[in-house]
Amino acid sequence: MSSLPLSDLHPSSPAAAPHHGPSTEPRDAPRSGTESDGQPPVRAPQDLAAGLLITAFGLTALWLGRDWPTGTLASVQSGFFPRMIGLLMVLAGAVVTGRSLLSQGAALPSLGWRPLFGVTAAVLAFAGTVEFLGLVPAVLILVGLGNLAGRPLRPVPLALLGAALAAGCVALFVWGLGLPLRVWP
Amino acid sequence: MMELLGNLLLGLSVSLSPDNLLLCFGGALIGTLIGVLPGLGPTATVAMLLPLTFHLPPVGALIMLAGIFYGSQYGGSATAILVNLPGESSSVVTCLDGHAMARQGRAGVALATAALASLFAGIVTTVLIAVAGPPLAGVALAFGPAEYVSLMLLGLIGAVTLAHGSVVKAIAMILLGLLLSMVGTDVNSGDTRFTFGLPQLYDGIDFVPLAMGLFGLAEIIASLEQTGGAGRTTAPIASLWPKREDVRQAWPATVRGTVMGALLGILPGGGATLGSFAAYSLEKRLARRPERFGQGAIEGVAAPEAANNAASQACFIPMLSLGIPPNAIMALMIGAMTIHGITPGPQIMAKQPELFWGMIASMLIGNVILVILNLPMIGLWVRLLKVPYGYLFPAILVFCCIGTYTLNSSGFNILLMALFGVLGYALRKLDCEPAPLMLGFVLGPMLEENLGRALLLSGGDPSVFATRPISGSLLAAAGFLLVLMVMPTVRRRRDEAFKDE
Repeated sequence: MSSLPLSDLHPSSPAAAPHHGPSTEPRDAPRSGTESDGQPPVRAPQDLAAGLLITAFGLTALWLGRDWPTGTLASVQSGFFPRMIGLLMVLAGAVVTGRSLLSQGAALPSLGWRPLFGVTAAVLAFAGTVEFLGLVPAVLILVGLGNLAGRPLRPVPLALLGAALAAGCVALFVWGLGLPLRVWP
Repeated sequence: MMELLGNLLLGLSVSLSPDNLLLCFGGALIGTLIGVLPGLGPTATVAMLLPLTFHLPPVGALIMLAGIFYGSQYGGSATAILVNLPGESSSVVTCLDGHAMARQGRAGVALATAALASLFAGIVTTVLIAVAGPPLAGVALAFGPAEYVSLMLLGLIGAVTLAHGSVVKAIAMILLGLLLSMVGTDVNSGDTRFTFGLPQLYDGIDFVPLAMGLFGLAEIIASLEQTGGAGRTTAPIASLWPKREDVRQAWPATVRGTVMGALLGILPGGGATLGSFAAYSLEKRLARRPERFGQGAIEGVAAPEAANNAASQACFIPMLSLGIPPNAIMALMIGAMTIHGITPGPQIMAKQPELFWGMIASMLIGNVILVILNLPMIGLWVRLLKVPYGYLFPAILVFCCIGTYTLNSSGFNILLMALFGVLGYALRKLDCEPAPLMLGFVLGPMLEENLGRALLLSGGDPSVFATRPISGSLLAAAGFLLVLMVMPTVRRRRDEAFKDE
């Protein structure tokens, strides 16, 4: 089924072929300079990173489970499945890594550090405060930290948002659903 | 036939009770509300709203979750049409002609067409579930462990078709999900695995923080990165009702889309994405003037929307009758059932008929509610889309955190959610889709148990999987799918290489 939309891609390849024609050598310096800066050491950095990550997960699983009993095929024990999956993962990681060195692929993506850290910090702060300080302070801290993840709001709308969310959460979760949550410090 | 009617009546009596009707309505409403937000697809919406249903009785919880699911799917289509942002891969095709219609000032017609096509598809598929579910469950009762292993492999391989991009990466994601599912105490031996000595992990990783982190948090981070928190400009809405000519063009496309979607939805791993893509290409093939597609052809909205809805409801068939989730959302539904102490599988229909038929009948009602709800409220969704994301995402974050925390009143689950949020974001950046991971995670324990049992029964002879007839043919189907998928990939790679030169 998925081959149907793909067939639309075909007309583009003959269009690319004449482009390839004029430069007699496919890989001369000025051409590769237009694709990317200089001679890239890796052809598909994104795939390379993915492959290494997958391999790392597989190796970690194998190392953690190195002493677990595997049993025999007729009576497998707790170490059998982890080792099997770990091996398959290393294999898959090796395929992705190997292919990233051979064929052209996407560059490493840029990361949105600000939203990544802002959101993670806000969630971690909530986790750390909800049990000791209660729901209202935890929500306020989450909204305050989370605000740094995007384009920050001005103080007054931010305060209103925090107050509305804290009140709404208390109303919905504590009064409405009757969840055993601590509200105040 | 009489039995079917009796069953449907039983279901209707359950789902029309005031409580359940209210839950169905509430689910569809909240699902649409969250699903309309850009960047939050059905999977993320269902994952986030799961905690709402923890304190409900099982039937009510599943009815509400099903409502949330198709509500969010409809909400996603509205976003696709109005702002050209697909919430999930299944509404990518709707963007093409839906947003083109919106730019011509026909957004209202496109939204109404999507709603009506979905309604038709939903009703037809619900009847199909009622007809096909019981016989399939009967087949499943004859399944031994070897058959279950092969069926799960087929489902997992099928899930790879859903992931766009590299097949090997998708397989690796399944494997990672299987690894994560092993964390905790092994049920057979009592050995702890991958717990790093943390007592909080002895019971394994809960799937709520995993799903919320991978889908919810990661999507919030990705959306913030793209928009920085600003609002969206949406297309204006003039008239709502399709003209007679629109109806004449749209209804055959709706019927074809429904058939296509229902067929592909039953297959393990089929699901909404494949259905909507296939229905769109079919319409384009059949059209007398294919160049109209992409320019606002109404068939290009009706067919994929019908297919999308038909497929996503047909997915319930393998889930309810075999206990095997064909995609990430059904994996979430299975997780929700487990939380309520229900083991999904062929025995549900016999042991808990009011649950099974109540849920099916509630789908009929839910589809009607969805249309009644959405046609007058389209204006409201448009206004919601204009709210800056800077105000919305803190609310979503708070909701995710409280939901995860209340799972068992432990901050540890929130820490896990944050960890999986970072992992989900990293995987997204590396073009690895998290959906197969979720599926592997849910199927992991079942797969391990049945694998061990099948080998035990055969005395350690792995050839049982191939020699038992049902198991063998399931494996052959899985192998065929794998070959089929690898071939277009090879072709695509070649095309890409060509373009780069």
